[in-house]
Amino acid sequence: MDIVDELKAFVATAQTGFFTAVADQLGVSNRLTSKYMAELETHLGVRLFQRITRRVGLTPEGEDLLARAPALLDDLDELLNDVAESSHGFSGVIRISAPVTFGEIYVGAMLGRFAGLNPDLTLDLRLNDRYVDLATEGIDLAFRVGESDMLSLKARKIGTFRSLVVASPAYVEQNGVPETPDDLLKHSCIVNTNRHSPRRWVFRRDGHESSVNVEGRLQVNSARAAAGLAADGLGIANAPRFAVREVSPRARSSP
Amino acid sequence: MEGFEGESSRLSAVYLEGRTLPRKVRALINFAAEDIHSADIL
Repeated sequence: MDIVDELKAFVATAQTGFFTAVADQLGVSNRLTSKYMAELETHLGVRLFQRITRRVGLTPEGEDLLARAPALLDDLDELLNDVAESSHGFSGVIRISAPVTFGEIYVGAMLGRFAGLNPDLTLDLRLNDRYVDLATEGIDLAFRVGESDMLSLKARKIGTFRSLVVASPAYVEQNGVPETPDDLLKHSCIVNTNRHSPRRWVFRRDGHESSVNVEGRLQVNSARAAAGLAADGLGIANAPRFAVREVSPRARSSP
Repeated sequence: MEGFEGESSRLSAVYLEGRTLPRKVRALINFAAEDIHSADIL
């Protein structure tokens, strides 16, 4: 047995406290497991286990090894998988999370294009507008709109969305065109409750930022639904361009 | 509302810190970063 297998046997034994568990996991006998542990201790020149009847406990050196060995074995597995994938193409599963509207409009189609280039890869897309915990839900990659303040996450920016204010031609004809953000206070605004601050609409002009707290009787937890309600003449919505594009034949946008 | 720009929001691909990112996930992020600019949705 080489050092990698000895380490795997050590981790399994240390985590369960029994040689029998290693026998089940690695498919070797209890006697051989004991032999491998003895070989590892000889190899390192330290005792790793304190044998207490049938159960085994760890020495301080064993605790040190257990603290680092599982991550090392995971990294080694990933390295070997990466090398194998580089010669055979990607395989296995990638679990992806995305907001519902963005996922339906863009991510699904994008994954279809990526899947076409990687025929042995399985892609599992989960659409959800609630906060998704990547660690507990086994998600490899999540697309997020807005700033992420989670310290346990790394983020790579892949784009910037511009929001548009939209209304139907019929609404504009009946209620007029707002010329400034403050003019929105006189209008029925459709509130997308998925936004971080749903009623606070922010604008920039000549490098200066201004905001207005809009009013309206209609609110919905979907940018696409908000743009759709605006397209149907029920008020003015503030939605990302990707959501507006879906209803653009029925809506007029500004800025 | 001539001259006013709407709010801009950052789109990010996020993943757990503290572990090596598998090549296939890194490849998907790179693909999305290029693909999204040709999709005309930003």
